[in-house]
Amino acid sequence: MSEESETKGKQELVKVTIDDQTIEVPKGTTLLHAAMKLDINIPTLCFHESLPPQGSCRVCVVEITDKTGKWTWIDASCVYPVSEGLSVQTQSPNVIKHRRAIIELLLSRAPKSEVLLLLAEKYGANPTRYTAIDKGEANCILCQLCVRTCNEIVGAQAIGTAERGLHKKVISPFSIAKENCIGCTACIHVCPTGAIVAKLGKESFEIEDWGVDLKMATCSCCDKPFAPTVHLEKLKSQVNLKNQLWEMCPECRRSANKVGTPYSPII
Amino acid sequence: MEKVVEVIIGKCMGCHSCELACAVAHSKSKELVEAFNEEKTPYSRLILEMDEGDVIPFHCRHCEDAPCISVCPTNAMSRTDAESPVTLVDEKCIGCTACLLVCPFGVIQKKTEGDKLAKCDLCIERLEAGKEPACTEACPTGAIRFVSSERHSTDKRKETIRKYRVALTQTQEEAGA
Ligand code: SF4
Ligand code: FES
Repeated sequence: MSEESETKGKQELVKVTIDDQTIEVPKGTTLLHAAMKLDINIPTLCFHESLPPQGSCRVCVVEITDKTGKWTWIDASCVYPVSEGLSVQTQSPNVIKHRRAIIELLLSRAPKSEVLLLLAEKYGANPTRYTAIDKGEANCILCQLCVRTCNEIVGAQAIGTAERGLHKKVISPFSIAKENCIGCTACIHVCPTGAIVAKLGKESFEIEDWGVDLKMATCSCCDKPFAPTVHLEKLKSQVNLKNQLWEMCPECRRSANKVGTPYSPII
Repeated sequence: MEKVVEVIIGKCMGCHSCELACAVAHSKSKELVEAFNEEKTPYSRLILEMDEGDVIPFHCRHCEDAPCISVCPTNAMSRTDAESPVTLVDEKCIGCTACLLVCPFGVIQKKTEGDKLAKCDLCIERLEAGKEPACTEACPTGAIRFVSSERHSTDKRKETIRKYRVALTQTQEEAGA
């Protein structure tokens, strides 16, 4: 947000009309953000506020008409920077037609994805129009959000894509996650289709497909495993907390604070 | 910040009004009935912890030197200035749970609903509108109050006097007996 306000001063504003509502936004704002400002909902899958848009899933397509009114085309709103006088439709029959086709194609890669099935229902797409590439539980649409989060934000660089075409997949190098993965679970959080599944064992954190198997730290008070030890080690190098706290799970940290009445969270 | 959230543990009867008010205050409609029909089920950021009959509501302390802000890799956890509450922007959050693991008070939770991280924002929206936080308004017993920090310290000093008086009478009685 702060970047936006900074640029506002320097940059020129442009007018754009989305679904008959007009708004003025700084030049360079994406159509998706302009629509958000108007409270117009455009479905997205591969978009995340913390990463630059990459436009890989295409469900956010809209119909754009230029200021002369002569040219109309379909484009992904998350990567399209607004320019003066554009007029945009987010729900026109043409948009729906394209979005439906995109959802059907994505479903051939991730036939079990709940998010996609919901979208298919909403836009009247046929979930079995194209033969599924993988009949199993495969859920990944290869949008790369997990890979980019791991590489660009977390900085762990534990995963990437391998192979080509139909066989392309997200994987750790040679399916062996050596020291890289810290088990922070950010990939699981950002994945729009819920394709990454972690197994929380008694003392281990596992992501089977990637060969991740991390040791969990157990809470010194309640004996429950609460975080991978490597993740805690990384955090220890960033902030200073009392030693006791690092050994306790969040629930027990709360109860440790029960002592002493009345306690007062001072702001 | 001139005002603080004060919790008086003995007064809490565990009615969950604060949690409900918190969830509603962080919903889209901000209306009780509508809130629970929303696409995203609202959730409470405040934690009411029960243990052997004792109940305590837990809030974010909005630490001066907040560890959750220093570990957040995306700036989703931030504050506008030193005096303002620490807030989490859901859209920017990547769910790396770093904040959850460094909070000394354990007040950040990972919610199952939509895999969100939940954290008290001191009802920043309500504060800006000149209202008090939802939990302090909802609490029927005065266990959670939104008071000025001066009032809070005076009350604390009086509490100390009371304790001292009791202790003094006791020792006097013991000495007399
Ligand atoms: S969440 Fe925890 S660490 Fe962050 S400001 Fe609140 S009490 Fe402090
Ligand atoms: S959200 Fe725009 S292409 Fe995926």
